[in-house]
Amino acid sequence: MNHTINRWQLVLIVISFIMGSSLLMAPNLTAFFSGQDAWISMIIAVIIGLILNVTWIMILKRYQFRSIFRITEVAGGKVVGTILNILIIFFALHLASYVVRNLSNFMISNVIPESSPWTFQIMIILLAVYSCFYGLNNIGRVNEFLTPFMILFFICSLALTTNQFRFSHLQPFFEQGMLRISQGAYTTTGFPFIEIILLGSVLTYVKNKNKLSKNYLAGILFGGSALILTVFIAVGVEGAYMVKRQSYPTYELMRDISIINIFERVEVIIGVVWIFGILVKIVICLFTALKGLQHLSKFPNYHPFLLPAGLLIWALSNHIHTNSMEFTDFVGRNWTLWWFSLYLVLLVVLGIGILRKKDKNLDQTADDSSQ
Amino acid sequence: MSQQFFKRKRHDSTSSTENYDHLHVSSDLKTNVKEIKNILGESIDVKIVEFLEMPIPFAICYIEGLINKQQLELSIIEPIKRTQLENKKLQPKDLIHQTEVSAMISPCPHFDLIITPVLKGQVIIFVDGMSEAYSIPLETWETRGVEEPEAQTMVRGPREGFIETLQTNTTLLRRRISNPTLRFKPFEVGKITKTTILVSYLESQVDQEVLQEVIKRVSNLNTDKIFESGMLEELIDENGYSPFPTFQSTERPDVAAAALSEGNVVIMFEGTPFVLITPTTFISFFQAAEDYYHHFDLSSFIRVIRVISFMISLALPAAYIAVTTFHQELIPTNLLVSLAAQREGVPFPAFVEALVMETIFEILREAGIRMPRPIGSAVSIVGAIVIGESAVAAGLVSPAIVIVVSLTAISSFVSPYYGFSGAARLLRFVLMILAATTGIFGMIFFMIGLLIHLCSLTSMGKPYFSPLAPFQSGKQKDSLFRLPLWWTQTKLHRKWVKKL
Amino acid sequence: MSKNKSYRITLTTFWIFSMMNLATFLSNRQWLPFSKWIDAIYSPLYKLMFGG
Repeated sequence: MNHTINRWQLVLIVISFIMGSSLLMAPNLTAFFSGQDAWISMIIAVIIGLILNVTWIMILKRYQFRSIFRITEVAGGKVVGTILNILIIFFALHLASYVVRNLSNFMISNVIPESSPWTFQIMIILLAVYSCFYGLNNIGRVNEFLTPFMILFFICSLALTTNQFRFSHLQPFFEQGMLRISQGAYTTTGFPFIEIILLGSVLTYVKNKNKLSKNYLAGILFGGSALILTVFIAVGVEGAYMVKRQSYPTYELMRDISIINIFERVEVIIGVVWIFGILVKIVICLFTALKGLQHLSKFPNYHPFLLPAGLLIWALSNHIHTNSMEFTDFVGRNWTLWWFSLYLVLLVVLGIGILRKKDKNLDQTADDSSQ
Repeated sequence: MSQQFFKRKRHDSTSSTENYDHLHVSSDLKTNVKEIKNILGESIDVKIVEFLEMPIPFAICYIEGLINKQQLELSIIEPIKRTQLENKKLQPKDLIHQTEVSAMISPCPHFDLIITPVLKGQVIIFVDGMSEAYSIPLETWETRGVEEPEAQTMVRGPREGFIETLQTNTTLLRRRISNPTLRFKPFEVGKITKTTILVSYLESQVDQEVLQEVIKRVSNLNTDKIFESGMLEELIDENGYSPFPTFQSTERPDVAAAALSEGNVVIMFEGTPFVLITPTTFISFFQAAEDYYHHFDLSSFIRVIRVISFMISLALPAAYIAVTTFHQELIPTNLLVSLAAQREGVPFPAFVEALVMETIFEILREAGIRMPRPIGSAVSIVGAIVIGESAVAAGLVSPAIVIVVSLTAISSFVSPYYGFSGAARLLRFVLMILAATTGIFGMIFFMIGLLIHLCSLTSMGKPYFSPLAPFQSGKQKDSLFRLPLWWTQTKLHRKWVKKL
Repeated sequence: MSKNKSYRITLTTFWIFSMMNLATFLSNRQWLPFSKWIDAIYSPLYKLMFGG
């Protein structure tokens, strides 16, 4: 197992994580509340997300980007640290199962209605487990290879829709009022900008940590901009009314592309981009959970946990919600607060740790980034 | 972790050959002759010639066919006899200096040092009254001449190929690289076969880490028998279960020389024209030596064609199955109508159709390799009929699948390395099953899984998918495209051009 | 490899938790309704922020 990645790979992982699953969801989640002002909501979400992540990365920097599981123990002591670590592991697995569920919902509702959700759930979990088996280095490389293509596909297919772009769909600006706009921003702040704090377990494996914070934030900014662009174009092309009523507006958007009657059904490509982004997200969640379990168990590797973790994600992804409507409703209402509370708890504990100058005696403790 | 796998693969050899370390050469000639007859047995090619009537009796032992008999007669037996008869006072220990050979004569105090040299083609002399024998290298045996390589052909480039004899092969390399730092390091592998292998590298270029790894693996090899570089490849490979080869095997000296000059290690093997190049990358299996001999634009184009044909040979039948079974909407309507019209009356689903045709093709292909040459035309005629018109006419398959299978088959021959196209051949069937069950998204999952697998592979500890992931911008000049040589190789080029 | 105490405890607990979830899912019951619990905590907060 080789976990080292370089900074370029980290940036691409951040971009994939941000864009990945939000790519298809963001337009609906924002436009549902803020209508044609969805893109303003998205901008606000990106700004809030950046502010939250700047704070987060500053604190991690004080702790020299050690593994988040070690930091919590150092900052909060053995008991608080362990509880927090279990919490982080649960959050990671819980998120992974939501992402898996999201994928199977999408596949069943939009792509292949006649097939079983289990097929896609099992396949994506198998891929994630397979990748995690080889360590972080593996997903770093896979992602490094595919993300540029994915971004290219994404931008090309987005560009092809712009001929149907109507500015009138976006006017008038600020029509919905600040409350609705902030409500639109609320959902997309948690998903994906607070979720990305899970990368705290990954940062420690980056080889050269100079300018790490800048790269991390640049990745978030790029991913966020791509999301803003997506929302902007989705609303501009389809109109807020349509976007509100579709679960995956970006996908529907691509359905309209038709170039000289040969490139029909280009939306399959965006489906692939999305699946890959989702895979990266699941792998990162799974990796975080496994690393946490490894830390708790003080075992030299995390291979014994791969199987139960995979099973747990599969089970969770199916029993958390009975249907996809409940799922969407839940994510829209509670997701940001749910993740924000983890963020807040970690922030408080780590902040108190800094005040008690716990971050200074990190050097004496053993370095765990080599495993 | 690779270390663990590596260890597991080495099996304990059950039968170990006898050791003659304890058997010392006796000063009595007859005892020695008896002993050697005992060890080598009653084989007709083992020749032991005794000269007992001489003032100092001696005996010569060799294996017929492995040595130069004429030279033995002229420069060993004759001079020894002559000096003995001329000079009666000659001491037994001076006798050996009378031979007229230029090779190094080495003393052998015990039988272990006798048996192996004899089997490798040296001549052993026992002298009465000496408790040492002497081995004189006189190896020559029948070899094939240097010919054009059969498995890796090209339009432009040298016509020489490696042969089965190491000595000739090292010469072929030396002639291409006149560099004092070229090294050939010998190892002996196989408890029974005691095969010689050479680890060759350029001391000035080689990555020491890789070299040490190769040496470690080769010298720790614990096996009874080994006959071809493919066996060695499998035994020292760290990713044994992967269908992708992590050694590049070539029979072209120019490829091996290029690999050496790039700092790779070449493992040569007695008894096979194929040498192994390591470490290697995924992309190097799309690079033929000829790429560098043609103009860069053509070469880059051909490389892209190779990648495309690899994808075709891997995924085309699967894509056909997925599209015709699950995603008819992806095909333009006109084509869909004609495809549907063709498939009318075909009793099987597309998957069975493709599976049957692919299997038939694989059978024909294997038959084409194994059959005796005179029957060749019969097989090709029958094959063409089976796989082509008749199957369609009989209503067993649709015409479209014939096109798909033949295109797949042709594409699989494009790869410059046979072992590599084997990976596509095997994975094609897995992919077909996935396509038949889960459609195009199953294929996408498989492709991502394949990518994860490729990114996890290493070749001698170096990443296999290397210049692509991890991305190395410096090496892109010669990975998927071959950019002009003056970009990569020499900075003098431009100066030189200006002067003219 | 030393299988120490914390390793055994973590792995066993994790397996049990995982199997509990699997049983919940396969038997189609709501034994571990995480979503309901989360909803119970956060929906008052959400209502406070955006008024339902």
